Amino acid sequence: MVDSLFYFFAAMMLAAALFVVVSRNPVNSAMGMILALVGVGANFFLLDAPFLGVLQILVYAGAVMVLFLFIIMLLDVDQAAKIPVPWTTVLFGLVLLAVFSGAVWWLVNGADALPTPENVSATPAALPGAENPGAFTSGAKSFGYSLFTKYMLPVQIAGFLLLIAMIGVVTLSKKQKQA
Amino acid sequence: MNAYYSELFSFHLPEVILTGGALLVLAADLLLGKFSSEPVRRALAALLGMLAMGFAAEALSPYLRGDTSALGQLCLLGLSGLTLLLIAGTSRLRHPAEHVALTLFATVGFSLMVTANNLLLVFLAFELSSITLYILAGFDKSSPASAEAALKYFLYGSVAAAFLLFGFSLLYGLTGEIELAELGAKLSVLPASPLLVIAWIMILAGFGYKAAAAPFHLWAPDAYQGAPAPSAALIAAGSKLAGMLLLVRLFAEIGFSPLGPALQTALALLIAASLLLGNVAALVQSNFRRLLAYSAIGHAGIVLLMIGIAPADPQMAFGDVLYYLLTYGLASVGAFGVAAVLEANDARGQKLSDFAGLWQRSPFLTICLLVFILSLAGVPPLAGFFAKFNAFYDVLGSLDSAALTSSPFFWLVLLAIAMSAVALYYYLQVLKQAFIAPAEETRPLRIALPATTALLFAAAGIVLLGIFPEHFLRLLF
Amino acid sequence: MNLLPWTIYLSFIGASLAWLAGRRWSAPARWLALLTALGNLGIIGWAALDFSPAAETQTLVDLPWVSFASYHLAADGISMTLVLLTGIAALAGILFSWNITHRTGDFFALFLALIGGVYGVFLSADAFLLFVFYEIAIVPKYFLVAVWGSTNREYGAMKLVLYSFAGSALVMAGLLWAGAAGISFDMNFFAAQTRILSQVQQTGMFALIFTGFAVLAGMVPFHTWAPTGHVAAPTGASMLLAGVVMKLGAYGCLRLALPAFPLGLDFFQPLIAALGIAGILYAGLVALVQTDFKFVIGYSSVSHMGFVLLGLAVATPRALAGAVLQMFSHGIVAGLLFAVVGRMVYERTHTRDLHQLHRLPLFRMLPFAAVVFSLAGIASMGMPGFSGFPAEFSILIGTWQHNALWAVLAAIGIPVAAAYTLRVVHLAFFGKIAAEEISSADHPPLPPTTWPERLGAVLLLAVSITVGIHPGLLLDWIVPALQSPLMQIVSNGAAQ
Repeated sequence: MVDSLFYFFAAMMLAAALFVVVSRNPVNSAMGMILALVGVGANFFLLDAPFLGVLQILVYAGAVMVLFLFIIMLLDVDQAAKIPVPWTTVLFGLVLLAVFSGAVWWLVNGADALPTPENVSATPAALPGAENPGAFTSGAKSFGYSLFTKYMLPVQIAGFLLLIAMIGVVTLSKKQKQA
Repeated sequence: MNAYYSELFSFHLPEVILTGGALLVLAADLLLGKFSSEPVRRALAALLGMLAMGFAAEALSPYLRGDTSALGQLCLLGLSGLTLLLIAGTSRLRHPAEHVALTLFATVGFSLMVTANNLLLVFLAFELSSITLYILAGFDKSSPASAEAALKYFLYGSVAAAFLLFGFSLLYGLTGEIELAELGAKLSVLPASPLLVIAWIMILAGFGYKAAAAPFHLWAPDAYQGAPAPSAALIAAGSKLAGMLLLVRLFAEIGFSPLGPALQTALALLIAASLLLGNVAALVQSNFRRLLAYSAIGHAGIVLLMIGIAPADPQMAFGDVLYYLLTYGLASVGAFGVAAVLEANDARGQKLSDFAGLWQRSPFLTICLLVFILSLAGVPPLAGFFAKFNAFYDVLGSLDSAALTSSPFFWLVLLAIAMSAVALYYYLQVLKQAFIAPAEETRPLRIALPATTALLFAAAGIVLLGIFPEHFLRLLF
Repeated sequence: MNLLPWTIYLSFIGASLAWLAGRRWSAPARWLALLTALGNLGIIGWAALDFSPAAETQTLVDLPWVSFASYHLAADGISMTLVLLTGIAALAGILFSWNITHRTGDFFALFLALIGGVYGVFLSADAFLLFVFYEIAIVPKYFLVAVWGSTNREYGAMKLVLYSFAGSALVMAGLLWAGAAGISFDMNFFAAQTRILSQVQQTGMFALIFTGFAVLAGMVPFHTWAPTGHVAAPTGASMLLAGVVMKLGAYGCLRLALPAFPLGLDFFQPLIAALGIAGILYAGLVALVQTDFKFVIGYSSVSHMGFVLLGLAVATPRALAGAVLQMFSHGIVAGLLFAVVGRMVYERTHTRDLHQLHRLPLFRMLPFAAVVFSLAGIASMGMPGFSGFPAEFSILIGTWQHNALWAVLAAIGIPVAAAYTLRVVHLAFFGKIAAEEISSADHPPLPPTTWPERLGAVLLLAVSITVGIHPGLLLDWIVPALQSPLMQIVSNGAAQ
């Protein structure tokens, strides 16, 4: 049951992400992106991290994407013009795709490719989530606690990252005064 | 403030000082900027920025002995400081306070990259510096080339970041660890698996972008050409040094021993492609900055060669990469500085022919350019030569001397040596213009004091590091 | 003796001062350069008086430098000989560059920097240090030729410097390989170390290092930089290029390649000898048909360096002594020939075409140049009484004892040298000497030779004649040095 749900949401994410890229209408792209982000949130639920799932949907699929849509509508962006793509680029892309798919195929089919309890038996605790103290599963309190203790520094850095992005946007988009 | 926070605070004091400095620069400009002219604002911002760098360096000084990453941070501070001087001395761009503040933030990113000890921090530091550099690359709003540079740098950079993150997530998926030390311990008992190979190839792709190694180099010529000179200098010098030191540390902490041959082949391919493509493409460039970009690709090949020995002897690889990229960074900052001075005077300085007659216009600038370019070319007694020889010597020394010729790295060293002879040709094309060609424009060049200081420091650093390399390297061991 | 390293430092100090002075005035730069050269020669003279020939090299400075090499300078008879050559050639080169007015300071700064590198090579006792100085000497050559040169100067300069750099890349590869195989770069330890290397390693390293240095020594088929470079170079620089810089290559072969890898020499001996003989004959024949005065001298340099290579290949003590003496002799004589062609003739007549020169009564117009060139030509031919004679003679004797056929083939080079020298003397100077109908009105008088030119020419001629009459002066230095354990490896290894 969980497996089939995972495959469903994963397929949805991939299809939606592809739609973001190929759609010529920016509003449609944004809609596709919402769908992809909802898929991520659903997968968090499947991984027993409901709090993260809720946050994902609230913050990304909700707030951030609404802002995106708002800006797109506000700027009244037209359909993207059709740009002819040279065949060399297409060929290069296809070759890259083939190489990448080959690598993934090798990954999936390779002997003991994925960590199963057998091949990591030397370190049973090494499975993802095995030593997870439930920080991401049991709600806001423990989540917040680990954010402000163990992950204090990354949180601060991420905060400054946003500040820098803001400074950049303000500087770059500010109208040049005619001197 | 509890004990944990204060420990974190004191451990990251240099970064805290730099961040505080950046905020102070912004605040000071906000309060005083209205009452002063653009040059005064620029001078004030640069002065505060330099002060922050100075205090950060002071905070580092107790750790310099015996802590190699502190030395790496100090070198990064030095390179960023030179960039700040270039901003103060040559830039005419608007928003000087933001320019300085972003440079400081980029330095914070570099500094964190050198000290980060878990995957999350590694990625955040990587992004902190990258996002800052995207903005800095597009900082010249009057120039379409600058916008193009920023866009290309950003697009390639974000794809590279995605690769890097994917690689990291696979490592996490395999072990459930993000602390580098524990991650390495767990990986060392895991059997070699294709997942691990894919993870490492993703990570290499991410860092290949940072180092401008072929085939992840496509952004480099446009970014070097279009970005404002101080930003290009920062991209060429600080960002590369930080990225490669981080890669050495990753290799050192995690190691790639369980899958040696596959990954070595991938690395060897990157190295060979970078050496060949960079040096051959540079031969036909007529734009000074594109020439530097292609030469940077060639240098990236040599740096990756040193990184190849990181699993065997991380300490030595760290020292060699630091020495190599410090001297390379000084020479790049210097070369971009010379171009920036020309641009500030003539409003052009991109083409090689714009350097014609430099010897008549400013002997000082000519001598500096001579030092920088010859150091890049690897001519003694300048530091670039010793960096290169030392790199090759250590790479060959780390191989099994009985089966030397069967190692791909032996042949890559030979290729690198052959390419350094090829490289001299295009470096001399620059010097030919600067030192031999008659001047079309004979107006003497005016060089602002901060730019003079920066060039003087860079040139003196290269000469001293070249003549007394051991005094620097001894700090590391 | 211990002052000898100061030749290096003094050269670089002089270079900086000349550059600083030259930014405003040209005369002080010139005099500073002359003073530097005289100071260097003074140091060398002082050291020579103090020098007692012995088998061991005498350490001058030995300081720790980097992890794999030390700053180790030392001198033995061979270094002393070549340092003396450098001092004399530098002084003469400066005298013959006295008329440089374009960017005088830059010229003498680069000239002295080149000289400083050369002194460094000849005094190094550490392979890495030697290589560093060797590379320092490369870049100034490019600027000297490209800024102050004549015909095709940018092409000639680029070719010259790319050949040099390609050669030094080979040397670098060889040194790195040797380092990776566990060889320490201190040359005094070479003798003890060679047995740790296998035949394959020795042959490979020898091939890289010897070829790399031999490019600069003008070994066929890598010699083509030499004529183009020499012709393009300004007089002072071509004197240095032919007189001193080509010797750097030969010296590198002698000091690094031969003692460190004796099995490599054994393997390649016939090939090197063949290339040396080919150089002697081929370059001599090419010189015979040149119409450009300076190309004749350029090819003659390649031909004479062929003798040095032959001497190195044979590697018996007598042949090696001859090779070192030939380096000295050729440095003096080639410098003199280039000085006459470039400075005395070309800068007055503005042509180097032998047929045009033939139409001028040059012997009357420039009697001093004609006499000097004739004497230098005789010296170059290897006539007794001049330095070329004992040098080429002992190389030939040494070769004869080893392989008579090689000696006979190489000896053909001597009449060839006589032929092209006499041809060029005849064409250039004794053209219309008998044709009385040419009035002086047709040929406005050329500017007379100046005192620096006369001084330089007399200095070089005097040195050549002194060594020619009394070769023992130098052989007393050279021969004991060849008895050192290091050089014993060379001669024993090759004789087996």
